[in-house]
Amino acid sequence: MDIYVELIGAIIKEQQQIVGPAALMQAKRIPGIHIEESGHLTLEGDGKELTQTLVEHYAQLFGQASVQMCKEAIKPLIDKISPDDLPVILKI
Amino acid sequence: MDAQNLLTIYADLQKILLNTRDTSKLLPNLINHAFFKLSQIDMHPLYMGGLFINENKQIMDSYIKDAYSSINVAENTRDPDSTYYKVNVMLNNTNSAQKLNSGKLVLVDDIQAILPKNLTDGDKIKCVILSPIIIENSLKGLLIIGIDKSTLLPEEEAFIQIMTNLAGSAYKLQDNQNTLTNITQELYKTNAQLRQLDKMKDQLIAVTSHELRTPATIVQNYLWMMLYKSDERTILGEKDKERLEHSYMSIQNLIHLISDILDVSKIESNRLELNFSQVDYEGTINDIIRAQMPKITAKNLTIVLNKAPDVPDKIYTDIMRLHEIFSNLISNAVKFTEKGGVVINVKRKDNNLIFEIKDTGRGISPEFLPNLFKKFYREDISYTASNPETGGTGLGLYIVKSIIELMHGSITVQSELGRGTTFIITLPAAPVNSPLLDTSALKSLTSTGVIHREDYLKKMSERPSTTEVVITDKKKTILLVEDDPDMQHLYSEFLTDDFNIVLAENGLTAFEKMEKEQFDVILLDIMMPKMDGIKFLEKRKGNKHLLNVPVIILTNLGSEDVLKQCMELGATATIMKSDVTPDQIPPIINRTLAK
Repeated sequence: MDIYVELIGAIIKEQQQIVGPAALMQAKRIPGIHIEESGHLTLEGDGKELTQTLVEHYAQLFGQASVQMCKEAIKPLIDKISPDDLPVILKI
Repeated sequence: MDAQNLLTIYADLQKILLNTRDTSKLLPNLINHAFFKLSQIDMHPLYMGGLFINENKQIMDSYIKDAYSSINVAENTRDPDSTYYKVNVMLNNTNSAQKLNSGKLVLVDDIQAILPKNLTDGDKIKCVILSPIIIENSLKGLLIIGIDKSTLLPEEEAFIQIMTNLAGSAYKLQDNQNTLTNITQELYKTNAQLRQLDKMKDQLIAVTSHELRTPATIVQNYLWMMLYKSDERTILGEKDKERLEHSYMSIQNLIHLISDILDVSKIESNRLELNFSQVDYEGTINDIIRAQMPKITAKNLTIVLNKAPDVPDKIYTDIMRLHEIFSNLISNAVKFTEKGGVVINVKRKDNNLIFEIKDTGRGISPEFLPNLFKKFYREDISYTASNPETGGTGLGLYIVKSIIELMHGSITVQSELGRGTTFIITLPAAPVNSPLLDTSALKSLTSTGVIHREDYLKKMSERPSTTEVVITDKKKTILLVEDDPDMQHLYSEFLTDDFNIVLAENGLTAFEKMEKEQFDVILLDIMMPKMDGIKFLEKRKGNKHLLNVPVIILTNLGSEDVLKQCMELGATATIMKSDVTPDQIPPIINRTLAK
């Protein structure tokens, strides 16, 4: 599976735990992030940029605390991605 | 000034507001564009600013624009020459404030009373227009426009007032949005803290239940071995057998209680997840009936499963949770029935399957019925608590109802004291689009290992059979990776008839042993010191040679997330130690080996 699909999936899931359906609704607003009714997630475009945009979008809505939660959400995946491929906003 | 032109400008400015996505930029965008739009008509503004004040006449936000610089936010300054400072002074002057409060434009000839002395092109400004922004009948701000003429035409004055109202609307929208954003962000922070606490609670419950389950499982298994695996050396007297049976039943109740507490914790934190697949529900019900047969026979009861001819063979659901539902209801029916028996009817209605579990037991009193599915409610505490046969936690039916609702089904009950009880369950026979998109829709984002879980459940529910034994010329060797000495002893004892057992007390030791010796299968605990089960699986992934040796997770850790992670890391099956009796493990190992 594309690592950015995994990252974005983990981020949306974590945000859902905190803000509920708004997390999914807001993610669907990002051009290039497609989530089907079944929950299947696909990306169109640069995964790194899309991840950055999604986290920035959450940060604009929910504040800096949401960035921290995104970082928490991707911790189990951090070994799967090289530091260079990680979006700037998610770097620790 | 052409009225048509003014309308066009006004419409353009409205469009700018409507098209500004970031509400924090509404006012700067409006002032910036208004500056240029007014330049297109005869007003030629040389300076434009928007200042907004609170109830105490203190400036809260201010935006300044002139012909030579882009729009900027004016800083809170004590510089007596700044517009910010001068307007502040003016607003604290009762006469000026009164005029502005009336909502009318004020034209100021003394330019330097409002604008800075060193303003570029300041000498060209002949007049400063102060247009008050009135919101909810009070002065909330000023639009300040420096122009190169001393008077305004009536239509220009009217237009500035319209524009001021537009700025007022933008300010109100921006202010509301800011308030909403602040509240949202504060709520988010609180929710995030709650989420962290929830995670800690889950972890605590998972670890505690693991610590409780481990000794309970050891006791349960030794009791099982004494009761059902007696050989010549252990001949039990009737009295001892009875005592052991009571002990075995009590320890099983304790293990059920731990599982129930874990389930309730997951239900209450919306973390109970379902893994859907095509399920042979008839097989599941028959397995449960088989497990209940000793009690049914002992009480001389009958049990019948009737399936209508038009009922499909499979249902799209979570096999593990379906097992939990029927196990709970059927065992309750058997538990509370002394004469007669239990009938399970399966019917079809539209796209739903209807399951009726009907018993001829003692029934439920009408007073208690409304509380039946509530947590910790039991009809007769003294009766249930004093009798290990009928005792319970009062959580079972609450869990059953919660799971059924999560499956988009329903459960109802009909009962008559002394005549019996009927539970009616309605479950969708086919997949349902979940309205609870927030908790379930993203499940397909990760591979959940459903097949493994189903496989595991099937194995778990099957009794050992001689036909399942793998025909082999020599005993297979198991590497048992387990840190608890009592568990090591227990599993070594009951597996040693069928397998050679090599012990390793953690993942690190397991790797050392694997370098020296070949193993046929690995039984792996998760929570261990130095290198736990997850780290072991991660390290194993990097070694192609070791990937050929299947790994069966043998754990008491009640975290489904961790079990899923194990499956994703390549484990073949997971076995919950407390859910299986010793005789059920060799067939699972043999099946894994046969694959």
